[in-house]
Amino acid sequence: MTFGEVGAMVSLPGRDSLSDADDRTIASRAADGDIRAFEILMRRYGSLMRAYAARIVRPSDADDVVQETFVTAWQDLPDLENPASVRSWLTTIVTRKSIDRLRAARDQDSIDDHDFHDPADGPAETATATSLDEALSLALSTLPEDQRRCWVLREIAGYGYSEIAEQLDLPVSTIRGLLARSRKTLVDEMEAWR
Amino acid sequence: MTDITPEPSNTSPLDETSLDGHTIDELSDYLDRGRLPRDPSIESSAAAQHALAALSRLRAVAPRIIRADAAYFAPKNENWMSRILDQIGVQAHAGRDIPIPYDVPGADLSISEGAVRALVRAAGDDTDGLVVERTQLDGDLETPGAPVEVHVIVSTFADADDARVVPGFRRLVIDTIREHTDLVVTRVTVRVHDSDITDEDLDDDGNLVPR
Repeated sequence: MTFGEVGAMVSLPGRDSLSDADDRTIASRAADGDIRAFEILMRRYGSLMRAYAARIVRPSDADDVVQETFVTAWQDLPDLENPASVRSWLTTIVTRKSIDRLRAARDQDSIDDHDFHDPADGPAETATATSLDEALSLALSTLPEDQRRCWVLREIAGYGYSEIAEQLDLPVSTIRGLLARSRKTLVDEMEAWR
Repeated sequence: MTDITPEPSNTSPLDETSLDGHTIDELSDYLDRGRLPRDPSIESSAAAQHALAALSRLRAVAPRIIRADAAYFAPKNENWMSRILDQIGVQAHAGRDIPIPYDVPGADLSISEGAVRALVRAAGDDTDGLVVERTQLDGDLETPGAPVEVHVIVSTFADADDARVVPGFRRLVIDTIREHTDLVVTRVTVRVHDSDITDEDLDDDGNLVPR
């Protein structure tokens, strides 16, 4: 017999105040094994991670990527050196998981020999943007997926050109071309808001 | 052919036919290098300057785009967290099994190390003025009677009186562990993170000395 669930039976008067705590405190608690602190972390960054994943993988795969991201995060949190930087740390994990998923899909695709080009289930093209940020978010949705992927890896994840080329299994010259086209589309959209 | 399009012809600052021979790719690289070394042919071209400014602005708003996305991509139901919690529950950090001596033949009682650490955190939750961040049990937990040290890192609230709050918490940790386990705790260290404690409050090992 094991009283492994003792923690769950203990009343947690600090729980509400914990949800207001800063990232460092929450991440430290989660790293210490506090699953409620980890829940707060998921609530805080789940949408962001899902948005992030949906910009790199097929949107229908985003939920799986987010799940893998947080499971890995839970395992690796005790080794996170700077808990205050938990958000960027999560972003690094979700990027890696997205690329893994992309590679797996690509391998699968070459076997099945079927084309997949789901329309992004993100902001609908028909939606009306009410701010520059929203307009650019919409524009990002309308980009071809390889352009969108390159742009996110470069501008959000901060990957170098050769790194993107390696991860996406494309020549650097192709990456440069995709980035130039994505930048032009996004800049044109941005300028329209000036 | 007569062009009667109502659109202005030069709307895009990144139209490569009017960048004085420069390309978006080249200008992006130039921007990435912090515009160094200085390239006179770029710096003297009004069109290239215009393009560089637009690329800089795009770079500046990039993080905001993903944040705007997050609203659209918010998980559509609440199940997503429970699916993850179900999965990690199996591999929760239970740690070592700490035996509980019990006077019935064949009975094999234990409490997990993770559960004891949760008790220490709960003691912090019961204490006004501080939050427990990290806990650690050092020693041979699996051998009854072996000496065990408890190390705790806490942060205290700005308006908390550390000299009063921390010793009270330390006492509560000792009592809680004694109540729930038979561990022989020889030392409890509470380290206060982000707090102003003077040296005279601490002994050589960082223990807060009750006054």
